Formats: sequence, structure tokens, C-alpha cells
Amino acid sequence: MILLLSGEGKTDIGECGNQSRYCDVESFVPGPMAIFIDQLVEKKLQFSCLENGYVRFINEHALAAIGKGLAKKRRPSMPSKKKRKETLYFELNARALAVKAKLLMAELKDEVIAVLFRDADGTASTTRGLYETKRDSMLRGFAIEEYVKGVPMVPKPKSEAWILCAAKENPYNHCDQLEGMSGNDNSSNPLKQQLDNALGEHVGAIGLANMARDGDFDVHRIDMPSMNWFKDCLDAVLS
Amino acid sequence: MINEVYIDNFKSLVGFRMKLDKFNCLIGLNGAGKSTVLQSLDFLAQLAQGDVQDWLDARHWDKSELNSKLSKKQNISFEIISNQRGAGELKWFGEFNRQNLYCSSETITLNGAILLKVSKGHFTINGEVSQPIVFSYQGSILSVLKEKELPSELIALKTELSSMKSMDLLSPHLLRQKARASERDLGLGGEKLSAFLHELSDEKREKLEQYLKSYYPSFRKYQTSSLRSGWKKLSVHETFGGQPVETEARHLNDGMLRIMAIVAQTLTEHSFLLFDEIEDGINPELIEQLMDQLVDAPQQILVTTHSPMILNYLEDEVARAGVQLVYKNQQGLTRSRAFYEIPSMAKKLEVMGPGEVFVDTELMKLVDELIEEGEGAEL
Repeated sequence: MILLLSGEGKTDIGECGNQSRYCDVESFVPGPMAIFIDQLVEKKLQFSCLENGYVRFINEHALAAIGKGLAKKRRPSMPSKKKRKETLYFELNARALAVKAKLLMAELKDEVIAVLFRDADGTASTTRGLYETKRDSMLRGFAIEEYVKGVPMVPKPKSEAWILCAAKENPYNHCDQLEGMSGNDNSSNPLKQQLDNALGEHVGAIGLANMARDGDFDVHRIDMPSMNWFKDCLDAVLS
Repeated sequence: MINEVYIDNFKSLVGFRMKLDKFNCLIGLNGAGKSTVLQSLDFLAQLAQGDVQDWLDARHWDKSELNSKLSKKQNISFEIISNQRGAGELKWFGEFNRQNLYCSSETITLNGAILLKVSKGHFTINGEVSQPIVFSYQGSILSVLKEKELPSELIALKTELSSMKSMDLLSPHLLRQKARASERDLGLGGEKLSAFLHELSDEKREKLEQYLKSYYPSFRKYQTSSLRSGWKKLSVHETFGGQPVETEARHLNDGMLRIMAIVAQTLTEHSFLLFDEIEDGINPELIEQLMDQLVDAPQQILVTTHSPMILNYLEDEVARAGVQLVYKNQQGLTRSRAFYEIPSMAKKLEVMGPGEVFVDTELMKLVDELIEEGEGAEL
């Protein structure tokens, strides 16, 4: 089984160390979210995809290029009663990842589980649109491409909230409150700053990934609605 | 090409600045000020031509309605930057006196050097001895100075400004009217179309008919005929199943009349064409062709739209450079921002078409975000 991962940057899923847009585990530099995914998979299957080389990574620009190609084949997708605004970005990225996953399955003749990470309150949509509709529009994107092994990973409002749950004073308690905070980095008390304060210094992507790997952040104990939804979805796909 | 415009105290435009590209498209909520931007450009073009009172009359406006209700200023300040191929950057700025309908002060520079200056009742050309202004005029002094007295760059600027054409009131009702003479141009609302088409040269008529055939396969030709009283009647000849059908303009569909007017304008000598709500009455099947024609037109173009179809048929680079979101800030002042340069829109554009980005975005909330960030007020 191969894990195909895609995110927004090095501080969430990670990046290719060799500047390329697509890489295997050899050149993949995992971010903290990739470590979390691997730890959840390992708990379920007693097998680390990262350690055994069963990971592929595609960056958001490469994914967007696939999505843009899909866009040329269709008429503009209109919002409607059934399809709300601020969801198409998530749907198209999911479709693009599904396309890539199916190609990879054919190439490797192996099962591919794809995880698509996007902050609920990130650059692409900020506070516009609802968390649930963004997450569900990823599921719609996977379904449009008839791909059943896609998992949306959408922290609310952003990945720093999940990490802060583990890093804050009185960790792992009342973390659902963090989901009500703003994901805007220019807000009065930004989550990024709160995370730096909790850690006592600014820790970069690799540092955060190492802390996740070393157990300083325990993904299994992070109890937040957006994380729990992701865990359930991943679990269902792995079952 | 006009690259930048600034206007202060014109209707809802207070301290309003906007960059312009070859093709420009304004989007935004109702009441944001899109049409006002068109009107302001038409107003500035009129200053270069004089006859400001005629311009007000044509719009049924009074001079007291020109200024902003949100500013205590009396004069209207303006600045236009135009890059002239081979010559450099021309900048025209000044103050329009609303009571007397003329520019009480104005300056035109070329690459920073003053070419023309009007101040305190005197004018100077090319730094020569200042002369008293002993004549009356409306708009800019450019409208009355003899061209042989002006350096070529000033003539170029005057020509560029004077040949801007705003069709912000284009209406099928007016397009259908018979007309006597067009003076080789359409009216603000498209009136005089029949006379205008009648007066087109054979070459332009042929070109226009070719374009219309590509839009409407049944189209054969248009015909204008002079009635005894001098009125010009317009009719269109089409063929359906081998059967010729002639339709007089007053029975023609809105879309064909609008396409005729818009396409005909691209065949004129105008330097800059402005159309409000370009998609009105036009079948979605024709929009791609119309947009391609406008993007490739010899003129600088500015349109407004509420249609994602219009935007979706723009290439990403054209959309990035030319689509401006027009919105009102907390004080009710109109502001603009390059829509696809807003980080969240740029990110969406990476994966979807320009129209899809527009239609997938909650514009009201986006505007709230821009206001909150205090962005867009200044470029």
C-alpha cells in the first residue's frame, strides 16, 4: 500500500527536498502532518509507510496543474443550492489528487491511499465558506473521479491548532475550543504566535516534524472535532 | 495606452486610483461604482474635447451632481498617465472647476518635463513665455489651442483622450431608432446606429459583415436605406433553409443589435472603448468569440461584467493583468484591486478558470476582508 500525500507547504505535509514537484520517500522531507498520518497508519496496520519507503508526495503546484487540465474539459462549475460557494478549490484539488492516485495505482500495481491536506481557514478561502462544506467538497471531488481511497485532512481552522492542542499548557484538554479561533495570521492573537509562545521559541517545519516523531506531540491524544473526523475517515479507508 | 487614472471628488470616486492594462474588466457588487468608473473616464475624455455642458446635457446631469456627496471639495482633481510608444510617459493632472466647467489648473509632463502648464489665468507651452488666457473655454485648454501651436506629444495625448468612447448607456431601444446622420459615431446609448452603419466605408462594411457572419451563420448582409426625409433605415438579411428573410432594426433581437454596435466600434479609430455590462442580451454561445475579439481589438478596452462566462473566456494572464474588483470601503468610497492578485484568488486561479474563481467566491465576504485588512485603498 502506498500513501500519496499532498499539502500546502513544508510546515504541514512537507516538501520535496530536491526542489521537484513530485517525489518519493527518498527526497521527501516530511512535515508534522505527514508524521501524524504515518503514525495513525502505523497504529492501524503496524507498518510505517515513511520508514519503509511507501510514500509519494505531490506539491500543490503540480496538483493545481492537473486540476487546471481538468478545468479545460468542463464548463464553468456553477454554485447552486446543492453546491455552495468557496468549495470548488477543494473539489478540484481532490479531483486532481484522485487522478494522480489512479495513475500511480496503475503504474505500481498497488493500492494507493491519497491524503489531501488543506487548512480550513487558509490562504485559498480564509474565513469564507464553512469548514464542513470545504471538507465535503473534497469527498465530492474524489467521488467525481470514482476514487474511493481519498482522505480529506482539513484542520479547523489550520494545522497549528492541532499541534497547539498537544503543545499548550494543560495539553490535550479542551482542544475543541481552538477550533473557534481565527486562522488569520494577521489577527490579534494568531495561532502561529500562540504555538511559538507555547514552544518557547519559533520552531520550523523540520523541528515540528521531529517533535511529532519523538512523541512530543501525540496525534492519538489530539481530541478535536476536525482531527477526529480525519481519523475516522482515514480509519475507514484503511479498513 | 492609458496606464493609470486618478480622480478625486467625482461622484463616489474620492481619491480613486486604478491601473489599466490593454484589456480591462471591472467586476464587483451592485452599487460598488463600476459604472461610475466608466463615467469618470468618459468625463476626462470630454475635458480634452471641451463642450462639458453638452456632455452633461447628453447624460441629463447637472453640474451640481458631478461631485461626491462624501467630500467637501468643490473642484474635481484628476491625473492620467499614458505611455506613448516611442515617446515615453505623459502625465496630465489638474483641477476641474465645477462651477465654470473648465480646468482652472492643469499640467502635462513628458517623462517629468513640463510640456504644458495652466495656472492662475496663464498658460505656458514648452517652458516658453507665459501667456494670459483671454478666451473662454470648457474642459481642458487642450480643447481650444490650435494644434499647430502644440508639440506632437500634446497632440498625441489630446487625440488619445478625445478618441476614448464610452458606451455605458448602450440600449437596444436606442439602437433600433432610425437616425439622419451619425457624424461618423454612435451616440452614448447606441443611437444613430442606422446612420453610422450607412456611413461606414465599403471596406469596413465588408469587414463588419464578415464578423457578423461568424457570429450568426444565417446572417447575409445588412442594408441601410435613405428615406425621403433623410432618415436612415437599417435592416438585416438572413437566410433560413435557403429562404431569405429581411428584418428591420426595430424587430431585430437585442443581442444581434448589441453585437453589431460593439463589433462596429472596434472598426473605428477610437483609442479606448468602454462598455458597461458587456454580456447583456448576448447568447452564452457567442461570448467566447466576443471576448476574443475585444481582447485582440486594436483599441484599449474596458468592460464591466457580472458574468462568470465572460471571465472564464479570458486567458489567465489577461485576467490577472486586467480584471479589477471594484468595491466600496467603510466610508462608502469606491476602491479597486486587481482581483486575481488577491492572494486567495491567485491561489484559486492556479487550479480553476477565472470565471470559476469569481463564481466560487463569496464576494461580499471578500470585500469585508479587504476592508478589514485596509487593503486596496492605495496601489
